[in-house]
Amino acid sequence: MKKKIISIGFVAVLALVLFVGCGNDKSTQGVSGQKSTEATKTVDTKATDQEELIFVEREIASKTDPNFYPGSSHYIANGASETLFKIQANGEVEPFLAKGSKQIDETTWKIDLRPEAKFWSGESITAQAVIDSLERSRETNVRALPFLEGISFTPIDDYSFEAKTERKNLNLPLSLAYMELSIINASKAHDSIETMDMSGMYKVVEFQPKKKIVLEINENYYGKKPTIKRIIHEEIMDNEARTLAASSGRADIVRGIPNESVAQLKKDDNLVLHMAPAANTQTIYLNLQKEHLKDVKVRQALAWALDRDELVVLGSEGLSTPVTTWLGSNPKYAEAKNAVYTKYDSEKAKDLLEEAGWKLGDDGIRHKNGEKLQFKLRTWGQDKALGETIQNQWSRIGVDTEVIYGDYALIETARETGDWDGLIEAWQTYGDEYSLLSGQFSPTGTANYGKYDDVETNKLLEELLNAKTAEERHERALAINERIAMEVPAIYMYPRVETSAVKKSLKGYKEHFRQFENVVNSDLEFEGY
Amino acid sequence: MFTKILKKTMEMVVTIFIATIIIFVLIRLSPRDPVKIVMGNPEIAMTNTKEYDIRYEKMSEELNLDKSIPFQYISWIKRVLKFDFGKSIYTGRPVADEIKERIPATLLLAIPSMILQCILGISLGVISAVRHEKFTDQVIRFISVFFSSVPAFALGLMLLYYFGVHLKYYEVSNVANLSRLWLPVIVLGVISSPSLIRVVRTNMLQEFGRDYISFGIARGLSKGDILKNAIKNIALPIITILALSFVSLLSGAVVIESIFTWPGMGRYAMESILLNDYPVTQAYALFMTIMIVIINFFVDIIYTYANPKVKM
Repeated sequence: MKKKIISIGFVAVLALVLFVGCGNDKSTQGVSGQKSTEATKTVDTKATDQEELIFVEREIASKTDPNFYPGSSHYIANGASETLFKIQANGEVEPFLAKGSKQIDETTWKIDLRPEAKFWSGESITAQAVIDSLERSRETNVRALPFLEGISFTPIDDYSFEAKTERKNLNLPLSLAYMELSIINASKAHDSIETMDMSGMYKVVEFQPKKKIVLEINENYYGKKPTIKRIIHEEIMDNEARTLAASSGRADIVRGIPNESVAQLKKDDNLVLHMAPAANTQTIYLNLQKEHLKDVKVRQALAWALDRDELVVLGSEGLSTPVTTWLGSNPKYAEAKNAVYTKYDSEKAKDLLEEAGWKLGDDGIRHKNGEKLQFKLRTWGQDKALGETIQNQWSRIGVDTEVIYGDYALIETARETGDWDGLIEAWQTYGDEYSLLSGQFSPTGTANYGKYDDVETNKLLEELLNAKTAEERHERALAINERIAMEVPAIYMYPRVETSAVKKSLKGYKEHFRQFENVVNSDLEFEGY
Repeated sequence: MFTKILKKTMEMVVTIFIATIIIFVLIRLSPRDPVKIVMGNPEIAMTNTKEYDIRYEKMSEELNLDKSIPFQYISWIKRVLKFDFGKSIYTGRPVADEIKERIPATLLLAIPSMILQCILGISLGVISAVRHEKFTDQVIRFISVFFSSVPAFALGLMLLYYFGVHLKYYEVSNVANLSRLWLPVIVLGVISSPSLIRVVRTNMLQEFGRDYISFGIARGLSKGDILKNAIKNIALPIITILALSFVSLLSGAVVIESIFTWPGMGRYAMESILLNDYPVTQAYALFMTIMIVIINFFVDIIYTYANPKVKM
């Protein structure tokens, strides 16, 4: 009898646990944050494969409010949200939610909207609604701040408004195309799926924080309606699991395939791999406060001594292409890709070090005034192969390189204490040229880690700020880019590569250098459906 | 007995109190700036950060970071006592709610895994002892050594590839349901069973050498009865191993939950560390400390109950 009671008790506990566990899926389907699980909507999961697209990423929007990071770019990527303007794959800016724009004078723009455009709720997207949305971004989204700095908006009529910029000849459509400036209905709270109101072709019907977002077609969409009825935007953080989600055939689009998995997935007949170099440049920033790096010849020697083809093969599994100047990874500045450091030249590097007084010792290391030519390079844990390749290449010219790997916190701390000679980072190179270049190379630039301060560069930056036309801006930016390459406050290697695995039967996927905000589009459809 | 339990409870409270201080201090030793984590850095490096600086100062005051460490600790502990662990930086949701949502998934994985560990560990351990130095014993010992040497992530990935990609029997997604339970349970059960097999085998062999077993055989007891008596006598080391397993499974089988994208406590903790979500990391550490202390408390009571000679 005792045994029976124990057995029944055990089975009951197990059943209860399993019941609670199975119920977990539903209990976590509540809308994030402030609203309770009452706001939950469990969608019908009987859709056929062709009606449903599973889109997997390393991370998805963490909140229902796109103004909180990470949000806006993910909602643009899954088709829920839109910006006024959009950057095309060739780097050109075109109207998206806006109908068009016109520069009235040096500081004034007129933006026209589409009268037919509506939010998910059916409310019209008027000039006032757009202004309210942009002001909400300014108020709540730190990442949007730089793109709205010094800009004021005034409605002209229901579907057009005026934008005044403090800076002359600012490329306003480019600023308003920034991924953190999703246009949303600012009169709604955006704290649950019921109070979300955006403008994209899909609307959110289910939100599970850090798990998945389910979207269905927005019947009020003003543009071309998509054919795929439902999008499941899923988060899988683990690299290997994400790769397996692609090769198992369950996911239709998987973004963020790690470089090491590319060779394996290339063999999969059911997948197409899209590898687009991103508009960012892997850069070795140099600490110009260090005595040995104050000499431009030493900096130039380090730049000439890098065999970028080898770096690409070993550091990015051969998937990227070399870039020798900072702007080279920007599709609008393709001519800068192989400028200045046109080839790998270790002999020239050695000569430059000799001229700088660094003589090769018996230990294979260069010395000057009794001191070794040493270099402390800091980089990320996942960049081990790249770090070791650089170490090896610089050892060929007699530089004793120590590579220290760590996370961003350690790199930041080293930057503050000055305990570094070089560090690797990759900043975006696409955007407003003045903002980007001054951020990197002006004395007050937040990414000017090595405290580079050059009179000629500052003069060129001033000219860029005052440039009146796009052509003039392009020319000035190229001049700065070349000056920087010669002065070497940093050394440029290659852009990071964004790899996506897409099911072969899915058509309409478009490669883009900003793939993170260009995934779901109305042309996507399954073959034969 | 009551005095012993009271004494143990006092010790438990002191341990948890010390743990709160250690956790609080350790989190603050981290080099990341919590204000920057909450606010985020502008995506593109810009020269004009005046507005950012103003908001930075405001946020520092809001988070009490301008106050002394003891002041910060007291205000934190006051909130913790009300089960308020703050909000996740990443999702903006109360951490207590997120933990509550993760626990069922963790239990769903932990309990069947432990049952499988028990079944494999005790049965194979007993068989191995009974068939001492025979072929079966050699095979079980080999399997035991093999699975204790294979890293969990390697076995997990291999099985995930075989069943998820090759056979397509297993769904590679991120939900916690019964159809996705069996594979991580097998992996966890299999990799945690070798330690139990070894303990059971060694202790059973010791028991077989004792007089009461010889007397039992002489009295004509069946093999089953003899084994039953021997197993009863090795209950304490089995409880120790299972308690340790349960603690590690409850705190989250971090690697397995990550590979199988199982939304339990382990993955939650791992992600919070990667994302520098300090309120979550802090709450997780505290929660797990309390769980470990409580489980150890109960193990001590079971020990005393099973063998009153054991001092609490």
